[in-house]
Amino acid sequence: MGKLRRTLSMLLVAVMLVTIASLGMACTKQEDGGDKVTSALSSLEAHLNALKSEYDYSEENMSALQAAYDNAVKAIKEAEDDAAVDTALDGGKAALDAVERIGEKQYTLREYINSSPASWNAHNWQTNGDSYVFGYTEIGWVDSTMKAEGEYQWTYEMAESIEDITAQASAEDKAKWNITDDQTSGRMFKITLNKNAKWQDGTPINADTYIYSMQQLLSPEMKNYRADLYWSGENAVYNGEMWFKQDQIGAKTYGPISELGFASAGETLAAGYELFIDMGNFWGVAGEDGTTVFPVTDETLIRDPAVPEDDPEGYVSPKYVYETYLADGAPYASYAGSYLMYIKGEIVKIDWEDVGLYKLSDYELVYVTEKPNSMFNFLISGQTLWLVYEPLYEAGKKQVENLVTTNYGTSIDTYMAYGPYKLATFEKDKQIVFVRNENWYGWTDGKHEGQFQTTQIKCEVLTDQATILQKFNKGELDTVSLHSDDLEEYGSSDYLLKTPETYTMRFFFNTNLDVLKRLEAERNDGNNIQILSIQEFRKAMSWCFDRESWCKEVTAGEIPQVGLLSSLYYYDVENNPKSVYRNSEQAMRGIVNFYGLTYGEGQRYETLEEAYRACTGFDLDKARELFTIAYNKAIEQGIYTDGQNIVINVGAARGASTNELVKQEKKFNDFLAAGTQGTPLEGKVSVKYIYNLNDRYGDVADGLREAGYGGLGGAAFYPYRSFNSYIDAEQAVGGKISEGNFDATKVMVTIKYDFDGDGTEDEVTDTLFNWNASIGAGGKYYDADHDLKLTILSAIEVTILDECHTFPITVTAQVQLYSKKIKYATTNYNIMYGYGGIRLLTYNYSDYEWDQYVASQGGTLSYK
Amino acid sequence: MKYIIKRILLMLMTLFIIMTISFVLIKMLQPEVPATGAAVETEMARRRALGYDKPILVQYGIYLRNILTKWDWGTSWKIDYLSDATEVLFSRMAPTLIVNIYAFIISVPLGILFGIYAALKKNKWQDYLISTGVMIFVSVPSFVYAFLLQYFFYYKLGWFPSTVSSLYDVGIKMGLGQSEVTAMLASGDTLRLWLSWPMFVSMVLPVMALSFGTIAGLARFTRAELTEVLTSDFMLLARAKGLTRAQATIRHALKNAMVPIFPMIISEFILIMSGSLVIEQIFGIPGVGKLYLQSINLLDYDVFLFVSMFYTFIGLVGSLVIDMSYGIIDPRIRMGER
Repeated sequence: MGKLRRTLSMLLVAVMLVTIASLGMACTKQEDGGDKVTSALSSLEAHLNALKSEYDYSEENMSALQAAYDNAVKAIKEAEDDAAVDTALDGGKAALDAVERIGEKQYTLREYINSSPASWNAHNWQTNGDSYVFGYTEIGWVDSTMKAEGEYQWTYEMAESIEDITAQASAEDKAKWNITDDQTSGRMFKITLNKNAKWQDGTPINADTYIYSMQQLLSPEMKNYRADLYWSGENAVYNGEMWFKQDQIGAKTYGPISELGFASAGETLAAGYELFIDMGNFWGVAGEDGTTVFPVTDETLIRDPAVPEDDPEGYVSPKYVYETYLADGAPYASYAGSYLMYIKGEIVKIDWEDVGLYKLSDYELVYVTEKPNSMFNFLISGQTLWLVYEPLYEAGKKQVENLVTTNYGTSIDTYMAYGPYKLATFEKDKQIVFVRNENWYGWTDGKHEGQFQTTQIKCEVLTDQATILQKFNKGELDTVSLHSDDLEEYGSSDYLLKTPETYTMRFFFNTNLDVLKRLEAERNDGNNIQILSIQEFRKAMSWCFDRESWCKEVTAGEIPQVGLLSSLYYYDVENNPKSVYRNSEQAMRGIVNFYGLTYGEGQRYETLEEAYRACTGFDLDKARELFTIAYNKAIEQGIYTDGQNIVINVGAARGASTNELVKQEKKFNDFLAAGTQGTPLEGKVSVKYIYNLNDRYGDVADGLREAGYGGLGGAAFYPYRSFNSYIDAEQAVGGKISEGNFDATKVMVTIKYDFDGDGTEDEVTDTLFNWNASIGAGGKYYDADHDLKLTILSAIEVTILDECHTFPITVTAQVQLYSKKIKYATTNYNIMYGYGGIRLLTYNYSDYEWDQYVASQGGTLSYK
Repeated sequence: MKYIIKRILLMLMTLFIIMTISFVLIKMLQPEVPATGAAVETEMARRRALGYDKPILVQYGIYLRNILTKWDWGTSWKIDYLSDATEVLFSRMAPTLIVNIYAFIISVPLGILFGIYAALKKNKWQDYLISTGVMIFVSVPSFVYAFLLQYFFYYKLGWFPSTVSSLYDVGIKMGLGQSEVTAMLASGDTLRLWLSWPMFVSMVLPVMALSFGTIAGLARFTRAELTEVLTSDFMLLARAKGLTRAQATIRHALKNAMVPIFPMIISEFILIMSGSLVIEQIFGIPGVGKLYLQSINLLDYDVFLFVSMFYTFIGLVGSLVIDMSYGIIDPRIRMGER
């Protein structure tokens, strides 16, 4: 019995096991079948999507495609076994493929330029139209591209890598290239070239191409316009100048005395050197033959740019300039090291082997610079190259009088591209069409996936704004630059892009009371301008300025500005792509404190940034209070008679009046009317714009007019020297500061900071001039960390605002609309990558879809 | 014959004087020198190499020598880098010529017909209607109705393109492949494209804009001349002889009225070669009107001089032809005879 039970139990277990196994197998089989179907459906859907993204279909055929897909899905689902699924899938794909297509999707970017390019040869280009062409047809060793919002990265293109090999220089190298022992970086750069780079006809680009191109670029007989980028400035190639001037053997070359380790004229003379002055950089003048360096003698006379052109006394000798400004003990002796020159040598005959560009192998180049250069600057300059295609370059050579030049890059037949696009047609004054360059490595190297979606670029040459706007609204252009009049219509468009520039527009004044008295007497119209000498009056003008409405109503999209520097100044872009001076704590705090906003617990604004963003510089009550103070002071000083009109002449433009400027004048007067309301100056203050001026900055500086309107700007990547031209007359254009009565050597500034690093805050007082010099080249704090330099820079900015010989209004900006067809990588402009460029531009519609879309909208689109 | 030779000699002298004045004036305008730095040196070195630092009269001597010995009118440095000045002008002639020829073909017959009709219907509503239209189109500048035409026929109705098509676009519209069009453009064999239907359609608006003024001018002139002739005694005599009004008008009135009208038509024909700056800008025509302005703005000396001399020459030849045409139309008129 027990045995039977055991046997039955075992049988039962066996049956159960068999059942479970069977069930398992059955389940497995069913699961396999489900996977097959799912996978087939996925494959079919992927095929459908691929077709849709690659090809355009008419509306009718798009329905047919969908129907074919639905049928195939049904067939796959109803298939009885794996083989049937495969058959249904193949059949479905074939049915999808069979649906008639219009063609491959095309993505055409439609642009316009105002003038036709004349020569886009990298050696001789001159205009924006010229550079427009090679912006698409050429590409640099590297490109600064968008990494994330607000962050850039270097993407290698024509180079595989770039290394600073100065530290590895051999003794022979050091001797040959004049590399001193203390120079361990910035003189020798090794560039490993991209081996896949080719011209559009498939000819490889190698180190020889670069060397030939540089030889031509620096050719003394060709005198190419762009040669100066490589024989002068921070990226100058070693001995580039010598090669470029091989037709001037025996001519002298000069260097600043600081190269000799001298800082003063006396030291240099004592060492037996003859002195020269670099008038080109000191005063921005050149002799009739282009000479910019003059011997310190009375032999040559140079026109003094600070003296009006028709003044016969306006000529001075270099000796006079030296003795008055740069000699030991003279006011600007501290700049002697930069502007006094010595004879460095003379142009001697050299071979190309002596020029700092040579190859290590077919795809390795070494670029030796004349002076140390940072890797960042080297990469920046490496974004454009100097390559030319030898056969076409040589074929196009022609001698005109004593100049040899070439027609390379003046037509489609005389040019060879090596970038992502090449020219398909070039019709002068009419149209340029670019298509993809099939020989560009980027299409096949796998590193550019998802980039350069644009298949064609069509650019028309158009000048009439009304025509341009109509074409844009009809969907025939993808971008349009707007004028101020257009902003009334499009100012609130969702498709508006404002590209800020580095220039701050501001009013500036000559506040010298003697000058103002003289001007007033000369005009003899009973109006007063002497009141401009009172600081409160100028501040009141600033406070009554509603910058928001000004920008919106009377400018072409300019941006309100309460500080002197715009948001395009980066203090350490090399290491910190977000290092915008304007966003630094020091800069924001300076502005917030100056305009009297408070933040923190219990205050109106919670954070510094919130307070800064809310700052408008517009407060009518404050303006009225200041106008009243100014009135009282003026009466007290006897420079204003009660009831007098105050009419300030503002030098507004070099050219004739424009609609925009006329509106601005009216707007400014409206602000003044509002600002003086209820004060003793009510209805008495106005401005009058003056046009057609050769030099509105110089006129104010020279006391020929009391006010002007113009830009202020500096080096975007080194804000610490941005105020040089506004503080130091010798660094200002024409050797004079526009604010005629502003003397930074007499303005004292106190800065609180832990200067000595002992953990306690120090209070240091010095002149504005010296503070500015302290963060400039060779200054006391030049090598200090950014925290200190930003503190000083902010203090300088606030002091200039407080002195109020100038007050800021706007930042200039390029305003454009972009079409619904295209999509930029970002709509936040970044100085390093713009909006992402053609590389990251994508499309919401293919050309065919766009035509359909525009037609569906009645042929005209709305961007208002 | 003697008269013609005399006129030709005078014409050459005028040309020389105008050329000298133009040369001196344009050379007195010096291009801006870059503010500072190495660019100054490069610019000055280029000017020296091209002889621009020599006295103006020496430069003029070289200029004349090159024209007389090599027929070399100089080089474009700003507009079409390193192209001959002659080539720069002639490369822009086709669009100007074609648009103007279309305008001429349309406007001359229409202008004369309207003029004749208005004269025949003098002081009737038809005359008033035409005269009002004439006054409007003569008074309003061409760019105003250019804008209006563009706004209504392109922007609102979408009947015509806003600008003259590029040759490339025309080729594509004609069904030619991209490579075929590119090859055609590269070879310069573009006449087929210029004279194609899509190109004509794209030129309709500028042709209309150019024609209105001419139609109005010719209609007004024809009406005035014909009205005067129709009221002449010989017309009364012709009718008295038994000619119908139509016969008298065609055989006698029109023939006489054409004496002053024909030279006007010739001068219109000569103007075919000159571009209208405003119309070319509005309709994107890559023609000579735009070129002339560019050459002055950019100080492309040789292009400016050649364009100036070319049109001076055309103008002088035109006036000679017009003077001679009087004799052809009416053999009683003999030029240069007392």
